[in-house]
Amino acid sequence: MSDKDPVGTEADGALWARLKTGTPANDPARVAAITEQDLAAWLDGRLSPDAAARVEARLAADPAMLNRALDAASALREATPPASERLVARAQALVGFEVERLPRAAGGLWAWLAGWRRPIEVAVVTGAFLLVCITGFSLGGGFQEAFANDGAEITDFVTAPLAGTDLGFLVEQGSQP
Amino acid sequence: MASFDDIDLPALLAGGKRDWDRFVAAAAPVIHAVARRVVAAHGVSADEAVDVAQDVFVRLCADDRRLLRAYDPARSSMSTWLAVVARSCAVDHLRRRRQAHTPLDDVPESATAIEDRHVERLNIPAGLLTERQALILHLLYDREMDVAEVAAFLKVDAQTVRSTHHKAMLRLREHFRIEA
Repeated sequence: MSDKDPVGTEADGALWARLKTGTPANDPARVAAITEQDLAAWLDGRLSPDAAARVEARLAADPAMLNRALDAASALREATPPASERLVARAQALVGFEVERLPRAAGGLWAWLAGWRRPIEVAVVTGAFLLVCITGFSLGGGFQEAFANDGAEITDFVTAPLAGTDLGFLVEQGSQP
Repeated sequence: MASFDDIDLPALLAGGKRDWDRFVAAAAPVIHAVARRVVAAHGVSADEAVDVAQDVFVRLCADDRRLLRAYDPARSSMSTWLAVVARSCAVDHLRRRRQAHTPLDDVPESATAIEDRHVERLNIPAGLLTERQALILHLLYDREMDVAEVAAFLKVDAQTVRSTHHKAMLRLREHFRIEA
């Protein structure tokens, strides 16, 4: 026992040491096993007196379980500094964005929309593309103006008198084999 | 600083990336603290603590978060459960690491044991001491913890530890007819 805050006497310690030797009067198999969840509940003080007694019996009898409880309790008690950024980044990278899927049952409208996220994304992108095309085309005058311009050019070409250079071109084309 | 209160457990178990990130931010300080303790207790370099903690996270999300699904929020807080689970995972990690880096012939048998599952055999009749009395005597005499440490561990005041110890010793002396 530590001398920082003594309790009991040397005789008490000697008696305890003596009782730890010799033939066991209690059967270790009777000490019920406990789960990690039992231990966590005991550490949080959430167990009934009977359940807590079962955990404490196991802790008194099982050094490994007691080590586990002591380490967990100490880690929780100490003022935990923020974990290193490297650890957080590495651990967060364990789950990729592609596995993200929100539960539809929870979250109401948002959860419902989340299920339609991909089609909505495609629709929004397509709509934006069409809007840009239509706006640009409208600013350029649209089909009507384009057809009107094309028609005027054809009419001008057909009705315009042939110039000398045009005739020379046609003769040249016709003389070729 | 991230808090466990911000964690939506169903969404986390469903696989949400943002929920996982929030969980990591909240859990990393506790898991890292456990890893540091385990690493120090096993005489391993403190630099290993990050790798040990990372392995705990790997186990938590492996097999579609099978380990994480074992957590029951009705029975304990997330931080306490994580501390207990992280301690077990960290010890397992160091044991596997030691086995991987050391030739089997050089590893003492005790080091390859799963964990010290030795059960103390007390020569005390069952029922003579309450479970708490036995635990307090064990902590005081076998673990050499002082009263304040035992009180902090059991979340009781120091006077309760002293009186429990006193009553336990009275019972033992009375049963074995030993004078104080």
